[in-house]
Amino acid sequence: MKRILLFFSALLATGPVLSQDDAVMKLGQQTYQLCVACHGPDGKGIKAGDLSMAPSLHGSKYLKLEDNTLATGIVLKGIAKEDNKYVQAMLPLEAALNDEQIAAVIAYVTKEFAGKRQKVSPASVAKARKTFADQKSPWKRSDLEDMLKAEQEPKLLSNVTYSIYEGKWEELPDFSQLTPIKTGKLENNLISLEPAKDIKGGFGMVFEGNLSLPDTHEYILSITSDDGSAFVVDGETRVGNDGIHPASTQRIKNKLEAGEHTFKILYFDGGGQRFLSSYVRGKQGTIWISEVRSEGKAKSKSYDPIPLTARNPGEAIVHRAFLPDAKPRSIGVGYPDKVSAVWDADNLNLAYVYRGEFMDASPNWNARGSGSNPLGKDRVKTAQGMPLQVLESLDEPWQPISETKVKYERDTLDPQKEITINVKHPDYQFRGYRLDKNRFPTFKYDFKKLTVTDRMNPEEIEGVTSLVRTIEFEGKADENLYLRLADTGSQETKDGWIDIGQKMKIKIQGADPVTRQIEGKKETLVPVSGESSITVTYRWNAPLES
Amino acid sequence: MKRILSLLAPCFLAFSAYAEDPKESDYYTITAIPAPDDAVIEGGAIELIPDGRVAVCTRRGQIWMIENAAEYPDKPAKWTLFAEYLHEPLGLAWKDGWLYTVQRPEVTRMKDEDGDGRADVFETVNDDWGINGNYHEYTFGSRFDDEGNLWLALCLTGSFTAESLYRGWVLRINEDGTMLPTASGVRSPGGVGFNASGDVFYTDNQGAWNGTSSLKWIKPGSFQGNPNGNIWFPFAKGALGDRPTDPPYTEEGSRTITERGNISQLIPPAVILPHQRVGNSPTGIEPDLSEGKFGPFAGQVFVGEQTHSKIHRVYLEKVNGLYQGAMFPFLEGFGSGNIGVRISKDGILYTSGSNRGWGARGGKLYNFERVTWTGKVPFEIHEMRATPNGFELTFTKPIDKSTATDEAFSMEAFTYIYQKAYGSPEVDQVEPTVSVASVAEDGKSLKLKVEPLTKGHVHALVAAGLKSEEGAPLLHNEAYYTLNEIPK
Repeated sequence: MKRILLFFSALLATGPVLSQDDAVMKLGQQTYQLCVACHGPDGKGIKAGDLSMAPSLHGSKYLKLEDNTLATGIVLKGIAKEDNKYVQAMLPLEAALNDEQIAAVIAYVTKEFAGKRQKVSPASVAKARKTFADQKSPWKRSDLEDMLKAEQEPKLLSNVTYSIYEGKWEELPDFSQLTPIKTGKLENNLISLEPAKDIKGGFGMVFEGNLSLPDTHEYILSITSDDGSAFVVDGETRVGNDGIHPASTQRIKNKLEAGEHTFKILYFDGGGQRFLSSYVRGKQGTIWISEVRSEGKAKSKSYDPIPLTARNPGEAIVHRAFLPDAKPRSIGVGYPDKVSAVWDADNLNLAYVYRGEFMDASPNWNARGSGSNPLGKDRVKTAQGMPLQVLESLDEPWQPISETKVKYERDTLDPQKEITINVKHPDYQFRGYRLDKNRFPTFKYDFKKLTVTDRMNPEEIEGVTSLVRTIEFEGKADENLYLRLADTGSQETKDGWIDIGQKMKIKIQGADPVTRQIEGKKETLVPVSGESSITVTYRWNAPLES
Repeated sequence: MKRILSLLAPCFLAFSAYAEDPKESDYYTITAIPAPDDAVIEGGAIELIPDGRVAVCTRRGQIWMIENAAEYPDKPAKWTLFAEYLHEPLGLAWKDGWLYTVQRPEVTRMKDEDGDGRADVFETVNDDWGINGNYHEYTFGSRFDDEGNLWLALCLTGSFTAESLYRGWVLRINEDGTMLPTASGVRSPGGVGFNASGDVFYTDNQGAWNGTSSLKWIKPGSFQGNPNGNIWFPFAKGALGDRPTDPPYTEEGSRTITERGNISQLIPPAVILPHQRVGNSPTGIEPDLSEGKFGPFAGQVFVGEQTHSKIHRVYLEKVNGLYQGAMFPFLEGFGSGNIGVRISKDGILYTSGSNRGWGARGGKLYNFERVTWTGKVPFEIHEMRATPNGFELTFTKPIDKSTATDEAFSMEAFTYIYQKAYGSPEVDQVEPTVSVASVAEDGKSLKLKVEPLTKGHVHALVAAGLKSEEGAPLLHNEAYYTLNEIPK
């Protein structure tokens, strides 16, 4: 009633009867007075020295679009000030103006300044309010440009219809055997879960229509979903992404002919989060065929942690994977009582010990697998490199690890490249390991005519959970053979411990250690003889802080 | 009009035994064998244990022993975890009470000595090759050959370069722990296995120097085509002789058939698996030694396909000293990307795989599935062999000879560029004329005259018009024959 009154009063005030369109333009012009201070009466932007208060509306790409959604979105939410290009930010007007005023002002500025009046109505403004309901702050220009790009890119889909099915599944059902509870058409020809927004609990959706491709090309078809989905072209599943899972992406290359195809996208949600997005990447780049233009959470490289825990209390875990700060043949061992070690089967040596939680396997067990991530803290690097060496005198330095250079031509004859590779040391051979009843490993390797076993046990020593390592030598040892146990610190203390720095001391039993400083390294060595055994206790200086 | 059609329909049925085209599922049944709830069976290889258990190793490093895999669901499948946290094992083989697995860094043999079902001895059999931490440096392993060797195919670093020792090579690891360099030129393998006569093959994936994916014969001493790993010749102590001449690194590339004339060790793919047409990523290789229990294809080879979630069928023959043959579509619709494939003597095909890192049509994260023959013989091209002037086809069932006309067949032939760039389009297209030269009296075979035959080309045959005596079309009417050599 109020609206009618207002309308009449406008009529009275202006005298001659205006057509409806003129009325809109009139309201638009009135509303535009809010904008004049920055955009100027001519829409060219008020100059403020070298700068403008706001950009000219004459060149605006957003106002030249057929569809008014983006222009409406800008009026509703405004544009943030991210640089000094313009003096002012654009204010959000969603609270200040009603749908009629916004429709009118867009009609006015597009007609007056952009050359062609956008088809805009209070209803389309109301729709835009809903579309952008989640946008809580002014637009960044980059967001707008992305949306503009989306608006301008070719539409690959047409005649898109959807069917919604109710049910609870763990994988895609045979939808052809089911009766939809709702069907409809997607006017913008973009896949969207919006029509199912009111459905609580599990549901399925089938989208179908035509897929028109510009080229004969090996297209990448991508589909991201939470939960399962499949991308079907011409009746054949091209990308499968089935099962219950968080938003995850599958992409498969498919050679498809230029021209018209039929497509189907199958989707189901088994409860919890819902997500569906999809694109086609061809010669023209990525073209989204869904309203959601991202791969959601799947895009992020961080995974839910997969901490490794022993199957049974008191058991160790032996985990072979690429691990940081060790050679590729590394073996993580998680002992009970929150102490862990990484043993290196390239160097046949302990690489480091640490404590706290053992291991996160999520980087290793997601995507193509990049190796696991030791958790915990207080990591202490023990002597790096190969464990044994014959030293004619204690002035002789420890050999570096075994590497060689290889001249290598990558895919082209010129230029040549030299790469360094690990080579197995000819004196050593890894023999594997044996697990005891608690799954504690005893590693074994050969060194010349010696067979060496190497194992650790967690043990509480003077209030600190420590690792006690037993190294046994069977067979014949060379003269002057030494085992290197530390290459840092190596300060002997009065009570029979050796401080190796890194907040750790070690104690050696079964042989008399030698400490030396050579080539900048502070080393702890022990002489090795055949048929002998050496015990090394690795004790952090203080208990684990929780 | 509608009413008239529906009245006529029963008449059509009366005339033809086949109301609709035959389906794969009429002949072969895929059964998913459910794994324990917390298990992720991203299968890399499958082995059959003499006591009837089926072993599968997974990309997450577990090895499971499955009881009643053949009997499920009549008996519940029982899964026991034999080992875990291994380094992405992609090979599994049983010998003399030991279970051997091929991990990224080594061949390991395992045993459960204390009898609790879990392995406690992990012996390193051999680790004479390099890894540098790059995920693409996969190592695929076979079962044992008659001489006690496992055959290992080592993927290139990042699938392009060879930055660790023997990347791009095939190595033989003997049970005695010794290693013998066996072939070079590998790019990115997906599996290693045998044909029925015990020769060894591997699958290699489309990419640099591979215009398409293919099944390749590992002839000892051969060069398989990718020169990046050939930098390791100085390390092989003459095991493979001299380093092969490099193929041309030119922008325009060459053809394998041309380079066979320049590089004596170069061996062409035995069976090309045309990229996109039949699949994207071939994997496990397994001969059918079940002597008919897996249907009419005894002695043929089955090849896994990861991307398309399929199993292919391959017929191999040796012509002028080289393997070649035909690939036929066999079965699709698996739950995930098949990697490991194994067929039991009882005629059960097991497959397991994953879509992690490489998508697969099946859509599930992983699968462990069993294929059994229903006992019904599908109407299929059984074998396709080369003849001096065409091909001979045999069939699993007698054909309706009246349908064996020239028009029933069509053929295109093409090849791929042999080049440093990734993949290749199909090139050098030829449209040969196909005519029926003769049909066997029993209707079980026929000879096609093909003009011209092009050496080095894939000959893609479509037998769309052929019908069985019972009036059914072929279950799969396509065949892709790789014509490395034309028999004399």
